[in-house]
Amino acid sequence: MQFLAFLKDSFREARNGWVLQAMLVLAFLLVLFVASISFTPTNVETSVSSPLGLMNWSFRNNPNLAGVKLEVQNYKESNPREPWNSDYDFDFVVNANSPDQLKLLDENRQLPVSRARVERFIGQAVDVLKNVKVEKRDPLSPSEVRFRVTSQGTKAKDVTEWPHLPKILFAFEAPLFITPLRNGVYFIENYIVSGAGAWVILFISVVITSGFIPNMLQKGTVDLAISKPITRPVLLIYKFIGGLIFTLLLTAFTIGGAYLAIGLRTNMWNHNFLLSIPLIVAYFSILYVVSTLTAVLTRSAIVAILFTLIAWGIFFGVGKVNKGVLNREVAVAAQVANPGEAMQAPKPGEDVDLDGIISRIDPDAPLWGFIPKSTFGIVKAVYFVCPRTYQLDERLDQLIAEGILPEEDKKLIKLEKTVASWGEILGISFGFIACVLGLACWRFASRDS
Amino acid sequence: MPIQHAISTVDLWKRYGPVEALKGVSLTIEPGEIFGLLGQNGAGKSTLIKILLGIVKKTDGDADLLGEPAGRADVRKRVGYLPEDHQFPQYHTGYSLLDFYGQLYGMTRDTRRRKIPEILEIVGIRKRMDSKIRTYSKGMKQRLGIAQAVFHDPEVIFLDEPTDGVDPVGRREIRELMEKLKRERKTVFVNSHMLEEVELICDRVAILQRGELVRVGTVSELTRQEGRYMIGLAPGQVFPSEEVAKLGHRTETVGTYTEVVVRELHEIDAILAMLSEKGLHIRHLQEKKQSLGDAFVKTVDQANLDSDADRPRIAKRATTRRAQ
Repeated sequence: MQFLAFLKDSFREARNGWVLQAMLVLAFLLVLFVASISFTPTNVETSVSSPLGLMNWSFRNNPNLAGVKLEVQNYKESNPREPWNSDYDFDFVVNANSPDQLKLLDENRQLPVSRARVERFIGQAVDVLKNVKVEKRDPLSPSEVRFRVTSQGTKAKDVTEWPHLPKILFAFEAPLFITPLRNGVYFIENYIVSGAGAWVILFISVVITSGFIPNMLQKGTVDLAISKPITRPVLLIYKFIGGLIFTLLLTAFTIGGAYLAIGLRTNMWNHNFLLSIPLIVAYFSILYVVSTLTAVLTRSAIVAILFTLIAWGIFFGVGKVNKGVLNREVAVAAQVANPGEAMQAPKPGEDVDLDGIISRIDPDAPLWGFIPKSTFGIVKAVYFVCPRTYQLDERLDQLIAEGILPEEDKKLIKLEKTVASWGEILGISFGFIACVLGLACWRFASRDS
Repeated sequence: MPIQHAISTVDLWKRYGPVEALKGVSLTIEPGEIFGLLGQNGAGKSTLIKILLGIVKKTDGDADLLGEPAGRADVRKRVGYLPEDHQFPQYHTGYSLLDFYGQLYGMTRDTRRRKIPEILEIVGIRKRMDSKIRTYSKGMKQRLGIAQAVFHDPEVIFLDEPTDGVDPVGRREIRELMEKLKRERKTVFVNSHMLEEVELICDRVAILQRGELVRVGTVSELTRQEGRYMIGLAPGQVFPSEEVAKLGHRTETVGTYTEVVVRELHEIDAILAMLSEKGLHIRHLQEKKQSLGDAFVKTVDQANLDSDADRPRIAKRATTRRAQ
C-alpha cells in the first residue's frame, strides 16, 4: 500500500507543472513523425530513370552535350503487382544530336554509354536485380546508342527486401533514402526512436526526476516524510522507483506508440523493438541512481543534474575506450598468431579497419592517437566497476537488428558489435545500482533529517 | 508489569558538533496528558521532539515513545506530528495529501474517505480540500498540518507551534480541538510560544532553557507565587497594614485588596487570627498567582543568571586545570 502510495505521489509530482504533459506531447510528436513516414515499393524504371534525369539535367548546362538524353524505353516487367518476383526487359537508350556528341560521351568514362558501363550502372541503380544482361541493339538513328537490358529474378525474397521510396511527413518523397523496407524500418526504430528519441527521453528524465529527491529532502518537508511509519531506506527506494516509473511511462508511450505506428504503416511488427522499453529504463536507472546519491549528499537538483550528466559521459567514454582497447588486443593477438596476414592489403570494397591496421603496424601504438597503451590496464580496471551503459546501448541496437534485418545484414551487425554478454551487462550494472543506492540509503539513514 | 509512559527520556543529550542542544533531559509524560514544552528559540524544544520521532539521532541517554525506543518506524504509526515550518508538497491538494499520508499509515480507502472530510471540516478547510496546497494561506496550511497530525487517530500527538500563523478565531478552534483530544485521552505534546493557550489547555508544563529542563510541573504549580496572599475585607473595614508590618510582613494595597507577603506559609494563619481578633471580616483570601508568561520569563531570567554565575566558576576551574 505504501509502495503504491509513493508511486501515485511520484506520478502526481511529475504531473505537476505540466512537465509530464509537455513530455508526452513531445513523445506524441515523435510518434506522429514516425507515423508520417510511409514506404512505397520502387519501380525499376523509376530507379533507373531518376539518376538519368540528373545526368540529362547536367548535359543541358554543357554546350557540347546540349540535347543529349539518356532514357529507358520499351519497359516491360513480368509481374507488375509484385516487382520483387518479376523479370525485367527494357531498352537503355542514349540519344544525341550528332555522332560527335556520342564520341564525346564515350570519352567520359563515368557515363553509361558502353555495354560494360551500362551494366555497371544498372547494377548500382537497381542492385536487387539478378542475372542482369546488357546487349547492344541496333540503333534507330546514327546519333543513338541502344542497349537491351534483361534480368531474371531478384535478390529480394519478399516485399520487405525490395527497395522502397520513403515519404516523410505524409507528403515529401526522399529519393536519396531509397532502401529495402526492412532497412528503412530498422533505421526508424534504431536511429530515430531508440537512438535520438531515447537520448532525448533520458536527458529530459534526468532533468525532471533530479528534483524528486531534493524536493523531499527540503527543510520542512523531510521531517513530515520521516515522521510517517516508514523507514528511511524504504522511503528513498520508493522515491527512486517513483522516478523510474516516470521514465517507464514516457518510454512506454514513445516506444509503444512508435511500434504501433510502424506496424500499422508497414505491417512489420518488430517485437524486439519493444524490448527498448525495459532497456531504456534500465539505462536510466543507472543514471538515476547517481542522481539519487548526489541528491542525498547535496540536496540540490542542479548539482544532481550536473553530476548525472558527467557520470553519463564517463560511463559512455569508459565503455567506448574499453571497446577500443579490446579491439586492439584482438587485432594484436591475431597479428601474433598469423604474422603473414598483417601485410595483406584490404580487398576492394572491404571496409578498412584503421585501428586494426595501426595495431598491426605498431602493437604499442596509442589508442586513437591520444590514449597511451600504458593506460590500457587502468581503463580495464575502471571499466570493470563502471555500469555498462555503452554495451547496453549496443545490445539494444543488436536486438532491434535481429528482429528486423535480413540474415546477411544481421551478420554484419554482429560482426561490427562484439559486445559484452547479457550476464556481464546486467550483473555489473545492477550491482552498481545496488551499491550506489545502498550508499545513498545508508547516508540518508545515518544523518539527522 | 511496569507502568508504560507515553513519553520518557532519561539523561538525554544531543550535540551538534560543539553545540549542546540538549543536556541531560529527563522527562516522563503519562498517557492522556497534555504537556506543554516552553522555551526560548533555540532552547532545544524541536530537537527533543525530533529525537522522540527518530528524525534526529540522540547523542546519549534514553528516549522512549509508547514504551518503545524512540525512532522506530512501527511506533510512528501511533503518533501524529506537526512540525514547525512545515512544507507540504505543493502539487497536492489538501485531500490528496491526507489521502497519501493515510495510505502511509495503513488506513483503508473507506476509512480515508470518511475521515479526511471529517477532519478537514473540524479544522475548517473542508471547502478548500480540492484546491492545490500552493493556493492555501499560511493559516490554512497550519490547519492542514494539524489535520494530518491527528486524522489517523494517533495515541500521541506532537504539535510544534500549532497556532503559528493562525488568526485568533483559528487559535480558539485549535484550542477546542486540543480539548477534544484531551477528552479522548490522547497524549498531546505541545511546543508553543503562545503561553496563554498553553496555560489554558496543558496539564503540565516544562521549561527548557539552553537544552536543560529548568522547571516541570502543573500550570498551577508554575504560576503559584508562594507566600503571597491577596486579602479582602468586608466593605468599610480598613486593613491593619501597620500592625501586620510590625509582625515583620510586607503589605501592599492592590485596589480594594491588600497583598501580604509571608516568609513561611504557616505565618498567614497568625495574620488571619489577628484580623479575626480585631473583628475584621475576611471576604476574599487567595494565594496570589502569576501568569504562565510571567513565570516563564522569571524562570528563564533566573536560569540565565545562574548560567552566567556558573560561567566564571567554570572558567576558573578550567584555568586551574590547565595550570595543573
